[in-house]
Amino acid sequence: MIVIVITYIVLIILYIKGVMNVFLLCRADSKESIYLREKGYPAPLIYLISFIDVIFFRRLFRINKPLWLGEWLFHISFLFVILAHLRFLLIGLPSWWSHIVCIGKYGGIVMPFSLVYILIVRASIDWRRYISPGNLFLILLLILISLSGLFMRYINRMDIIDVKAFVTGIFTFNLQPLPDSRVFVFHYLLGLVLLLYLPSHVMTAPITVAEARRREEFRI
Amino acid sequence: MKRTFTEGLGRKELAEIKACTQCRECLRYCPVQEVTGRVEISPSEKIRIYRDFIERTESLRALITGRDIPEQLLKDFTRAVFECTTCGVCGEVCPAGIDTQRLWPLLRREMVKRGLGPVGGQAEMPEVIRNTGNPYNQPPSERYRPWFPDETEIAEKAEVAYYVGCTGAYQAQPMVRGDVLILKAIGIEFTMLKEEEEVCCGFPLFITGQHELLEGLVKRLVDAYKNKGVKELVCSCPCCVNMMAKDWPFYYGKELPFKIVHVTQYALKAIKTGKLRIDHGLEERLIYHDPCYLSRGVGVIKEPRDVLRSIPGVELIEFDRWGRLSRCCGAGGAARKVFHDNAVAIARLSIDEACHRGADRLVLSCPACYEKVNDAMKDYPKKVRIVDIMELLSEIIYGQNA
Ligand code: SF4
Ligand code: SF4
Repeated sequence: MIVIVITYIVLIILYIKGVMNVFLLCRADSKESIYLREKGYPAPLIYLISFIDVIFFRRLFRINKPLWLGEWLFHISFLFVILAHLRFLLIGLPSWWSHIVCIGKYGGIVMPFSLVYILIVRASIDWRRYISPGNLFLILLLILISLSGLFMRYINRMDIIDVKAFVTGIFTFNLQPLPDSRVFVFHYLLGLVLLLYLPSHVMTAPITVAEARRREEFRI
Repeated sequence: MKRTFTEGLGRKELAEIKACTQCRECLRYCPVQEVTGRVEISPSEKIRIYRDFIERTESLRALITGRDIPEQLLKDFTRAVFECTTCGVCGEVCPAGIDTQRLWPLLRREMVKRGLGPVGGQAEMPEVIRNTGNPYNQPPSERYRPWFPDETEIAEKAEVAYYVGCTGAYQAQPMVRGDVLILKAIGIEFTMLKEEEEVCCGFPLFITGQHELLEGLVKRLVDAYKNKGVKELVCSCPCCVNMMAKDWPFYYGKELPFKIVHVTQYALKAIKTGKLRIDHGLEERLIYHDPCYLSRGVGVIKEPRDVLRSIPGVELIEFDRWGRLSRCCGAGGAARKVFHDNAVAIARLSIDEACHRGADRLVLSCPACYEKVNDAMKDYPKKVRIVDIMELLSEIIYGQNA
């Protein structure tokens, strides 16, 4: 029961946070300096280039290639892991979703390695200065989440039906018993912590990266 | 109703503050970090703290814990955001693409509105500019007279105008003298505003977050050039050029009726079309320093190098970080007087590198760099001869007694 209460609290917090952020963004002045509006590539091309910048993390690639490798692998595997997790949440996913689940399976293996690799690359520069406490916390959290996920997948397999019933039950207010596994509870609760601490760059960085391209192209 | 921390921000800036991943890539390039090593004034910390201000005042947390922020935290943040040189290299290397060169001035403005900034003598700037037209409290009558080359015609009206800029006029006179000599050598008819009409471009006010006078200054300048029929406004100061190209249209309310051109762009065009001939050579190893607001600000990177390469005999070498990644000379952000020790220490990094690379001369193209690098060489064992790019060109074209 307590897990379910925690889940609802987290969801309410997330909802309020989301609404407040959207409110702040809508309220903010949308005026921008004229130079960004007028100059640069023709619209379709700039959108395409910016899109490539976003999905391949070009900016990071330019500056720190070893770190880029870890970060890109982490983000892309994380994305597929999340997409694969949707099968616990949604009913009626198309049949081709099984391919995504399959990629997600590999993503789940890559994820902890990429996170450890990121820590090593950062530490090799200067551990104390270049790893922010917030970032370290997040990386450790993700490592724990992914390791517990892998444990359930390969060592102590969970009954998918139970998990799905439990998770969908929360959203449909048709509460179902918590699957009987400590590792699952651990994984699930840490997942909730991750949702609370989900860095806002996940939403906004694609926009700012795209914007940066326009700035780079600016010449007098 | 209390002022909020998001009030003075646009959507872009708000998204940027939320976009910082705290990856700290920026720390490896920040010149202030290089000389102070204080993480608490680093770009990532500034963004994190500002984000925290927003969270503490305009989020769920604010509803639960109250909206107060300790005074000391606000003061420390203000100092950190003013200690920056606004060089913008942090934004250049930022994987999230945060436009820090513009973000810091806006955060500074917020602290000014809260009565916490600006710092030191910066606070007197608006009053001084209102009285004298320049931030150095110098008489307008001395703006051109001490350095302006003899027998140089200034047209009443012309398609090309030259804007000197306050720092060049009062603190780096060989540089602006070089500009005028080159315009003269090109043989172009150009106009200038009268000494008391050529007021500050607004950059120091923009950068220190004191934006009240800006609209007035910009409209006054733009209209004055418009009345002279100007089509191209030539200027050598990167800060002015940046302000004109990016912010003047904003404060003017529409596109400018003329183009902004950096003097190296103008000179290069003249060299290419044969209007400016460089007959004498120079057997020297030159190292060129990119000013932050010229390279990262307006993308003028190739032109100064092409100008230098067009001088026969010149060997052009580069700093380790050049172009968009160049290191600040220390003078930026209107912080060079208030945080003098930082500025000198940063400038000395470039002096060291220029010496290490065996450069005969360090070529600059910004009056603030010129002043600061000169200053940093006082009482410093390492020395490198410095010269402004147009000063050098005029020396070659007119001979040593230019
Ligand atoms: S590089 Fe950009 S995203 Fe990373 S910490 Fe610095 S400002 Fe934030
Ligand atoms: S603008 Fe330059 S000095 Fe300021 S924080 Fe960024 S890198 Fe450091």
